[in-house]
Amino acid sequence: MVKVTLKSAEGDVFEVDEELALESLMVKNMIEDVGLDSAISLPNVSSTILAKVIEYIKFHMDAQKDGSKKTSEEIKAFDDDFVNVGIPTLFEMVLASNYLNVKSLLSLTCNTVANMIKTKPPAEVKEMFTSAKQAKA
Amino acid sequence: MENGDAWRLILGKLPVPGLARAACVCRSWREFAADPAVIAAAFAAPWELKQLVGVPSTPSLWKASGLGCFAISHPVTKSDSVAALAIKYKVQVSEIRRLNNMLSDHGIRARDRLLIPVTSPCALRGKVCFIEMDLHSRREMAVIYPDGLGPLHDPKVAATSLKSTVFRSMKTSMRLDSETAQYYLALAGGNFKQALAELKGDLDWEERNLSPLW
Repeated sequence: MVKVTLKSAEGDVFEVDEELALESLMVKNMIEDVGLDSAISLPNVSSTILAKVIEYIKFHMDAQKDGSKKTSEEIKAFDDDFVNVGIPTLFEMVLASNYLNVKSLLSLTCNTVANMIKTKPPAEVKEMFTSAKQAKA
Repeated sequence: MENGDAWRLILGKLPVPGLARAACVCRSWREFAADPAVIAAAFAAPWELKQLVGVPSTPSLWKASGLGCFAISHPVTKSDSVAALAIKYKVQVSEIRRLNNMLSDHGIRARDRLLIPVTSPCALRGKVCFIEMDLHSRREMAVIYPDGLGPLHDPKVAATSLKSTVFRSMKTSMRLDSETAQYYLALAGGNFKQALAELKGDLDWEERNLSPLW
C-alpha cells in the first residue's frame, strides 16, 4: 500500500494510506500536482485537528467497505461522539474540512453548528460564542 | 477572512427563519446572512434540494416557507386535460386552476405548460429547482422539471415557439419538406422573408438552368 506523508501546521508528520488521503480532494489535487515523493504540508491544519480528520475518514472508509459489520446506528453514534467537542475545536474542524475539501465531514460539522444555533435566541448565541472565544484566548 | 467562509457554510445550513435570527447576533453575521448565496442555500436546505438556479426578483420568495412556493412544470400535450392532470399528480382541479390563473378548464389549450402544486416534500428531494416568473400565473415560483431537463427560459420559449411557427408556415406555403425548410431558415438566420427570397432565387436558378434539358 502506498503511503502519503502529511505535514501539519506544527510540523508533525502523519503517514496515511494513499486511499485514505484521496478522500480529501485538496490532498488529491496536491498529489496529482507534485507526486507522492515529497511530504504534503498543510499549514492551515493543526496536528490535533488533522489527527481527528484522519480518524473520521478512516472510520467511514472501514464502514463503507464490504463485509463491515457496522450498522447505521453505530455510524451515527460515532458521528455524534465525534462532534461532541467544544465549540473552538468544532469550528477548527469546519475550517479544516473546508480547507481539505472533505465533503462528508464538512456537512457533518456544519450541520452540528447549525443545529446548535438554530433554535436559540440571538443573545444566547452571542453568549455562547463569546465565551468560547474567551476560553480559547 | 477565512472564518467568514466557514460561517457562510454554517449559516447556509440553517432554515430561513433561523438565518433571520442569526442575522441579529452580530454585524459580521448580518453581512453573511445578507449574502444571496447563503440565503439560497438556507432556502434549499430544509427541502434537500440538489441545486437552486436563478435569483428571485423580490426577496419575498425567500420568506415564503412551505411548499406553496414550489411547483412542478408539466408540458401540456394534446391529450391532457385538467382533470386528468389532477388525478395524475394527486391534486385538486381547483388548485391547478388557481396556480395557473385559469378561469376555465379550457384554458389549458392556450398554455405550453401548467404548474402543478407540490404536495409532498419527497417530490423535492435531490431535485434541481429553477426560480422563474411564470407568464400566465404572474408569480415567481421555484419550479422543478420532472423529466430532469432544464427550463426553456421564457424569452427562449417564446423564441422557439415563434421559430416553429415560421417554420411551419414556410413548410406549408412553399410545400417543402422539413429539411429543406430548415436549411433555408438557417441560411437566412431565422428571417422568414429572407429565407423565402433565397428559396425563390434558387428555384429561379433551377428553372433557368434545368429547363433546356427537358
